[in-house]
Amino acid sequence: MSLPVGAPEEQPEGAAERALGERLGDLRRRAQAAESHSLDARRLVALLVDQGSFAEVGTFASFNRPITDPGTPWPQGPVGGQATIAGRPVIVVAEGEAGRDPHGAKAARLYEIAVNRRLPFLHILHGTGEPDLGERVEKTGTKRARTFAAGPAFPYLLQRDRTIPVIAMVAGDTFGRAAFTAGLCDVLVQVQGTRLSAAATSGDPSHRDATGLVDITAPTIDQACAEVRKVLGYLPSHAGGTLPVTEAEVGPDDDDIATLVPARRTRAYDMKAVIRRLCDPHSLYELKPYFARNVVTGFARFAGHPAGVVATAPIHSAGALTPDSCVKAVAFAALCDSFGLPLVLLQDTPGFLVSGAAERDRAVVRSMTMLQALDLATVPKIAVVIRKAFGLAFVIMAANKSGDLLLAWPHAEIGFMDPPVAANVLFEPQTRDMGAEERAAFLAARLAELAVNFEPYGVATQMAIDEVIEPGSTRRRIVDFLRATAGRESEPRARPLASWPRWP
Amino acid sequence: MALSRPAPSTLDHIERLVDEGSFVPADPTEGGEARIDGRPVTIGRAGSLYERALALNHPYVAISSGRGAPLRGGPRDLGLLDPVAGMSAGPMFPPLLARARRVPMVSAIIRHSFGDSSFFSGVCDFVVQLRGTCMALTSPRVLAIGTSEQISFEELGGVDVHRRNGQIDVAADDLETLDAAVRRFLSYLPSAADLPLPLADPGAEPGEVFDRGSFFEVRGGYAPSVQTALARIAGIPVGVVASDPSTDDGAFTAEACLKATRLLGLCDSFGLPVVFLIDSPAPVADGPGATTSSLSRMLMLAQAVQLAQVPKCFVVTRRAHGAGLLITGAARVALDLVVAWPGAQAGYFGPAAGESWAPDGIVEPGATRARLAAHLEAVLGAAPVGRPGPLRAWPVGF
Repeated sequence: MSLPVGAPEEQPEGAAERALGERLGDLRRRAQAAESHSLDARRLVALLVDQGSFAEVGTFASFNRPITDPGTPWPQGPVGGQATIAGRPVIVVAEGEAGRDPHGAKAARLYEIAVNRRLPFLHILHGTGEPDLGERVEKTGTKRARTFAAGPAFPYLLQRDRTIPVIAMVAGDTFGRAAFTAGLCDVLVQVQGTRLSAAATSGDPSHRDATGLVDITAPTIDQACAEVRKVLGYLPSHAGGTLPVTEAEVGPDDDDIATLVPARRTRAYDMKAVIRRLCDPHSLYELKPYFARNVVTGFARFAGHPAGVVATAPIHSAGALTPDSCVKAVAFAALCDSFGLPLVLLQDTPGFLVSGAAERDRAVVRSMTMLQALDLATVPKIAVVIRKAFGLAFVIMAANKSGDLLLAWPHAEIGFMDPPVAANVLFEPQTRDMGAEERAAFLAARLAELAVNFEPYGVATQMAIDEVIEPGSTRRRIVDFLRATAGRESEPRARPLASWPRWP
Repeated sequence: MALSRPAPSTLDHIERLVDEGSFVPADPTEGGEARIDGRPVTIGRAGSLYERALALNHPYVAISSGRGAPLRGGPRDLGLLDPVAGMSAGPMFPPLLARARRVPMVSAIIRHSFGDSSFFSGVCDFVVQLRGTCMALTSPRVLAIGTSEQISFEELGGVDVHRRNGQIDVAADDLETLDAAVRRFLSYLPSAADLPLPLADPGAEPGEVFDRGSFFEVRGGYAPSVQTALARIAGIPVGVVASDPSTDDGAFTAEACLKATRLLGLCDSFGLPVVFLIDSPAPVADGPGATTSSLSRMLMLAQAVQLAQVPKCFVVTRRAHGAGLLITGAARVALDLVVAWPGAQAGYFGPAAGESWAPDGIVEPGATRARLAAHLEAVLGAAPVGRPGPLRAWPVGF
């Protein structure tokens, strides 16, 4: 094998190195000035990461085009590399022109680096990927897996056990292979007006409202980038990593918080207003805010400690749990369990929304899966009954008593069934033959007896709840709990939900 | 609709379901141990005695019926007035939720099943429901009082509701069918996840692909474009996921993907190999009215295929497009077999020019059974013992 001939002798010293440097510079400029594309991958990366922090990897990957041929316009494939967001290192990849990297080799290489170095992986998606049948065998970590050219990254993603956060952003219409990361990532952000589907489509459903596939939508690419940065602000860089705690005070007890909750037991109110008073100012960050709205899921900070909040929302169907809200809560619990975010469960719910439609929508199986998810999650769990908590919904939202601390406000009603319904059901035999007036009086008397048993003090006698608290002290209780449990998990903590599939 | 005749009591039902004379009560009202086709089981009222089955490491069969724990009164001796009675017992018992499918669990719904007895069916591996019964979170009576919705037992949670939404495996028109379904399901499964597969006669009479008479469809009325079943090949029990081109062109719809994922979870938990018969059309975009993303469900199935450690065989009978390509692509090299019938085509969006996705070769349709049998015998060895796979930690239902 012949080696390249050295520099001719007549050239001055150092000229060869300079020539090589110039050639590298020329090629880099040409690669980076790739032909314009409707969504310039390099510009997308620049929008997302800290200015000046991007160190490109794979600049010269031209995917079988002769890289030194000056006559060929440089194809713009995906662009990726290392960068920082708010000073934290990340790996970022933005997809390029469709078909320029048919095996997804660049994203695969960068995903591998991210997993090995335990860095968050951010993937900006657009375009139509045609998965081809090229690559048959790829080495994936310690396992050998057969892939088709959805890309070598694909089996990595399928086998993911959520060791690093994968945040994907749909920046333009995304179909086929290009959409696969969207169905496997941890948090998905979509730019409004873009389409996301298994196949090209003109009228896909709203992933924000109807399918719940997307966690966050944003009107512009700039805004979507800002959302990705915000999401990262609540997550550790890898599973088991320290949570990004910020500086914040607990503050004095909020004695007026109870006024947010109407005394009349059936009156609706905005649970998000309650959460905002409990968490640090402007720290509530909702995921899937328009899907299954009778449950609120979101990140929040309590005296700087990030946590995941799951709360029923009495303003939507009285806060009753539905099959879809189970799916939403399961997805969120799995995210929190995977990355070590403690769960704060707030409930004011009349129970499971019972109806023919709910049963047809698999109420039995889905409620059990939610029960299982909240029960199995091994992150610290604190639950607060704000006003009402009945039946299966109470058990589920109290994490089946596997929670570490279960609290109730003094006016809370807790029991197997909404008391007026319970009185009707329990005493139906006695009231069957009564006249309307007599029945009403009888039931009112029985209801009064029942109601005493539904007070939190009665429930607390059995330790079915741990403590009845002043509403104003709730924030302090939560902060104390998060401080007490922070960094005290067994090492490594079992993450039973990390292997669960992406929902919904 | 009323039951065609009175259902037997739980203990009477246990006696008729198990091998004659084999029932040994562990509790005078709850159930006990018995044999089914000569193999031991624990059988009882839904939720009770479950831990005995775990301790004895054999299947648990639940006779499901009941109004729900809250209406039974509770431990504080407040009777009907106890607001939290029963709310920490039975199916909500943590070991049940964390069971990781160590033993097969069956729910036989022989009477109306509400509240905690219905919860139990939500976490079982196999659910068979008797026509005329209702399984639902809450009874029509409570529904009428609580929400004013007037609905019949059948409409709320009858077999025709649950065979379409995928919450039951078999709808039984009579008790004989119900008993037979329970016995048949258990005949394909090992007694526990770490015990040997129940092999039948390897010289069984061959059918088209599976041993003649061995095809036992589960969740048949649900997402019918893809069939799921238990069957045998040369006596080896297998799970089957098969496109049915006569319904919706055999498409892996969102619900069909969930159905297939569920079967895969069962097989990976108990060590049954899975045979895929794939004739899958190009992916179709979700319509504007869709409430489930088929993209997301397709990837859930692909993830299950990739994670499952049981041997998997893929036979592309005609087309491997869309999800069909996705899941064959996720097959593992070590234990999985991917073959195609002559002329079969592959490609995600449709036929890719001249491409056939058959990394392990083309087989003639008539030689399929022999090829699968040879592969399974080779990778399983003479006395295959289940090695519980990672999907045992997945939810049972979706």
